Amino acid sequence: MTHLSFNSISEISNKIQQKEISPVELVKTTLQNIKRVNPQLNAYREIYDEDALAQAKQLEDELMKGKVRGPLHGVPISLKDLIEVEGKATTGGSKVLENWRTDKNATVVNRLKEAGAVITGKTNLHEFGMGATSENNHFGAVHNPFNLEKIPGGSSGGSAAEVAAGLSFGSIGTDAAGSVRLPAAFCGIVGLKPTFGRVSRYGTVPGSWAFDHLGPITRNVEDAGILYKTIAGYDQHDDSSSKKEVTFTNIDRQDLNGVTVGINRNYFFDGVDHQVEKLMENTITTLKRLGAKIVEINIEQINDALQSFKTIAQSELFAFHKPIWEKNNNLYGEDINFRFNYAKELSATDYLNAQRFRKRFISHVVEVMKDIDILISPTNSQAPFTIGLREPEDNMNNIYTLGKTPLINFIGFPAINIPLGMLEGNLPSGLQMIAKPFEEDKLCQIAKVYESTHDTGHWTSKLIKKFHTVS
Amino acid sequence: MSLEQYIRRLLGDETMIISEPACLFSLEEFGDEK
Repeated sequence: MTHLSFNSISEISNKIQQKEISPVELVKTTLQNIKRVNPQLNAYREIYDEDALAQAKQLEDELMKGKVRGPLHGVPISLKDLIEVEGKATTGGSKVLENWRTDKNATVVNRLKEAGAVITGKTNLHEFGMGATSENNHFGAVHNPFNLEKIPGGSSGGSAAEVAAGLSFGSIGTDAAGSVRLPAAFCGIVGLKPTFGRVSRYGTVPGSWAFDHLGPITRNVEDAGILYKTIAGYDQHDDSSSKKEVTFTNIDRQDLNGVTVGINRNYFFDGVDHQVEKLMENTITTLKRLGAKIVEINIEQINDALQSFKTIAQSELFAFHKPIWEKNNNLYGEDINFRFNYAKELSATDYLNAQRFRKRFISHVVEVMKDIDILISPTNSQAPFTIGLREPEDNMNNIYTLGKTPLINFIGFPAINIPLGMLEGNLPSGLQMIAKPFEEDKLCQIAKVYESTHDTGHWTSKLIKKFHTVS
Repeated sequence: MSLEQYIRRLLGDETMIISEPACLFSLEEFGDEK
């Protein structure tokens, strides 16, 4: 039987609705677990004890009256600390915003609360989401639950670490270059970056508005789908929000017959550790066995795309931070100062040319992907670093060293990380699946079939033993 | 208070701060509509 804290959302939801456990009992247990385990992980920056219990009490009262809001009714969910909750601190992991108390909820928070999710608190992150390691200069580094000396990936490292360790049933992260997918890969769980415009960014501290996405971090694909369906859809407060109808069907496929999977060895397999490469070759064999047709594709000018990505991302980040940084650069971590020193040299011409190239590159990718259903790649190129090993000046390039994710933010397509396998030292590695825009349902269906062949129960058992065996 | 108000207070001046998400991009080939 699955440990209660590691139940899927569907499993815990059934237990709540069958009254085998009450929302108040579940939230109390979850908060106790967070307080016991968080000192080891530093994954939560703030825990919402009283508010979470008050919310759970209200949801329990509703349940007793026969009202069920949906599968998230009474389920504990956390938020990355870039997402606003009314009356609470949203630090963005920075001293800059430490004393700010916002007057509103982010759109995703309203949608989660309306669906009955109980917000457990805010998770730690790389400062302002600007970094792939979650080594936070102000609130301390987040630790990987599989090896506490290693980074969990970033920037949503706190979310991934705590979900993997069974301290909530899911979290909402943000992803401008891989910040949902990379930490999910390093923590052995699932992270979904939806299509650009699918999930509102309103009420989220801005990073790069061309590339910022919000998405779920969960322990399985089905849970990611439940959170995605809850937060996706048009929002008048975010003018990038798409009016296209959200379609998400839970078709349980048994195989991948009729599915065409693309592989682009150029870039996606360059510089990849041999262990990751071997796991990917095993995956290709598994996908073929499941009935998928594998085809090699060739996306061109990827280096130009990555340079354009860097130009746009750094220009937009700096556009927001420039006035603050010019007066208060002491409030930022040393690694962020290196990043801004790069960004301040970029010109309007650089930015415009990068945007023009982006449009052309997307048209090229659309053409190359026209005959495939999904593209696959490793999410991470190598195992996570040891905490404290990288220099502050490495900050901006860590995501390119560690991950194969930023290119997908450049094109805005949906992508998901699912567990790929274990590397030496008991460190998880991730598989990235990329679909065409607005095809999150197809992406999740395919990911679920692959996930079903890939039992990670023994990974969970180790974490239960490590964090939930109370002597 | 809003993020923009907070930053202006931090800076102690009326610097223009824009924190809302912006849209310079659409996937209209795939039926996106803003």
